[in-house]
Amino acid sequence: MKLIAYLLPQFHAIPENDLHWGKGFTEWTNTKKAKPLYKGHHQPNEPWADDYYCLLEDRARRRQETLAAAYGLHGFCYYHYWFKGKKLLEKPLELKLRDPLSTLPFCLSWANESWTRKWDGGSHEIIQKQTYGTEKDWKEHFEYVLPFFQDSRYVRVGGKPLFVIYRPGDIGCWNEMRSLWEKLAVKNGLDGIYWVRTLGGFQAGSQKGFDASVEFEPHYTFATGSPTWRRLKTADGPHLVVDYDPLWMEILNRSIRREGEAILPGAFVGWDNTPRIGSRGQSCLGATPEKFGWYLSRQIRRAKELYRSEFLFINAWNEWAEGTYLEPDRRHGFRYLEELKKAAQGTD
Amino acid sequence: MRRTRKAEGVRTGKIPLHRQARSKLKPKPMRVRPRGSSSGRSLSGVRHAAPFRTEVGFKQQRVLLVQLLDATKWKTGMALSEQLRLLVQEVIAVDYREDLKELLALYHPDLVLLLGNGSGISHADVLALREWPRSVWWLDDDGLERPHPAGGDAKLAATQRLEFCSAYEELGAASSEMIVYPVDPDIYQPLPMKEEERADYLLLDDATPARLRWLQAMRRKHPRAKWLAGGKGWPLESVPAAADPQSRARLLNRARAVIRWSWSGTLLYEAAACGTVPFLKTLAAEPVPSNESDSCVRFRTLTGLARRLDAFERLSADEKRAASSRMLKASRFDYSHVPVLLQLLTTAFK
Repeated sequence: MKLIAYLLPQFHAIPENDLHWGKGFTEWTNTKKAKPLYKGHHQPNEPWADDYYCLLEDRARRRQETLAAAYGLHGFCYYHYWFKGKKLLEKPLELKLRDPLSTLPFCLSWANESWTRKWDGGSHEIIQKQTYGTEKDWKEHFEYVLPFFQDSRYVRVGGKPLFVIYRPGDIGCWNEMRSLWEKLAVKNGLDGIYWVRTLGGFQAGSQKGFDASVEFEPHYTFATGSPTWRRLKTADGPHLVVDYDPLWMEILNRSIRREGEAILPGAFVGWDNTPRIGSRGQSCLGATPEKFGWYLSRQIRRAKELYRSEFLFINAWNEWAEGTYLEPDRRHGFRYLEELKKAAQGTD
Repeated sequence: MRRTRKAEGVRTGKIPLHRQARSKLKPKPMRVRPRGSSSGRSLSGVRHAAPFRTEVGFKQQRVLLVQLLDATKWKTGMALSEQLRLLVQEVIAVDYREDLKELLALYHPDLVLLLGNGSGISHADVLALREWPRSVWWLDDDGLERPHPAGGDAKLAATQRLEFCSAYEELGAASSEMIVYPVDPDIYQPLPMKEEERADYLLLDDATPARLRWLQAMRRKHPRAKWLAGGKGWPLESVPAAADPQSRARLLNRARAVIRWSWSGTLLYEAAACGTVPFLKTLAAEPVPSNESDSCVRFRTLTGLARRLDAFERLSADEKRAASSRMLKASRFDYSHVPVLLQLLTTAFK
């Protein structure tokens, strides 16, 4: 079973974030300023050995990969940001491409939503609008990702590079864009592209042309399951919480069928986006490394036996400001990674 | 934790007036007194507080479980006896060997429970069973055309077919209730299917002229839906009737939903365990719930079926998946061995 963890590259400063969020802004900025909102709420979460890394540094990226490989991850799925020719947070991935010591397999998830001053792609105060342009722009986009697709470390299915799209329903020109990319892929010596769309916290209507759908957790369960939300009173205002165990049980009890399509099942480490939006966010109660390991091992078994999937996608390697990360921290040490390894080995 | 109270008035068993008001505010703990004990007092006269834990009602009972199930259902019998041990004090599980009369005399069970259809049970054993104060015959009569004659020999006839209940009471059972056998979760479970095997709807009955007209209308209305026939006479890809459980589970897994024009508790459990949505015709006397969290989609007429199917088709892919997931969850918990055994014990000890 190939376990892939999403990787957020927002751990270095960029001018756009400097302008809108303050000089030197990175994901660590939000993580450090987080506060506990209720009794038992653990914030701020602090990286192990105060390793507030910068992903422009080779040492930091290589260390991530060494850890990931040592604890059973097959690869990272990098978020890739492309706005009709404008790239954001592209440097870590470009540096990885050029680094011969960076050996971990990887793939891309095109995070195709507008950047706003709200953290979920809604239309409030747009920082960078997501648009798609015309054929010329799709070609330019393809030419940018081609070196990644051609790299020997890139994750493939049946020889085709696996490419995830976060919000496929937003791409009005999807059929045309896909068709062009397929032609360009073959022209450049690829067997085609293995297209994967994300099932997350938004409606995913019927859309042809995808080889598989990946369950992005816990968003997919938030959107399609029936978790029991509770409203806590906090000094910052009312705050929604949900219990970890029933959330996972919804994932593990879910019917495997969805219109006959191939599903790449998902898993999540935890959830707490209060570092980003305070009490307006949501947090999950009761997550522990042991529980994560137990649930993950069951989901891995389901992925193999029921979904017959080669992959399982974990949210996430390093979403610190969303409380879903595998990286070692001061509170749990390396226990999440240890549980990951046990789960990965136990079901092989 | 036990606490010993030596306050005023306690030794006499009377609660002083100033404590009575407080005790009325607290709910009394549920307690089943052990056999032979008439009060909560120890021999020393000291009154102990009510036990901290609650005892489940059947935990004092001894059950003699006699297996008459078909050899292919050995796992069901074994699983039931194991799960029954969680609920009662003692289970004596035996295969039937024409010695029921002797076993009853030897063990004096509180309840004798027979599993299966009773073919080959001796006359002497039938008489002994009829005289026993508390007995259940849990018949495996789903595939039978008429009620099994053994259903009249026990005090309670537990049947797979709701429509057989009154017949069993006429045969001599004091009462009859539909209690469906739980399915084997090792066999009836979601299985991955290839795209070419997949269908949307599986029709598990034979065609009739009215049903054929109904199908024609549905195919016009939902041209993309793929249909499979598990019965005769349909102008569809037909699959042979699946005799063994493994083939049956595979067949159920091929479809997103299964439609049957007659009620079957067994099919409900099997389909739900496979994550397949069952559309089942209710019996005339039963109300048709409109609640989406029901474990199956029920209908009474062809028009009602069409309406429910239309509503199902209008759901998005994720809504359909969520509906199947709810039914799958319900079948795992509600139709598994312990809840079904509790239903049986509650009825038997009413």
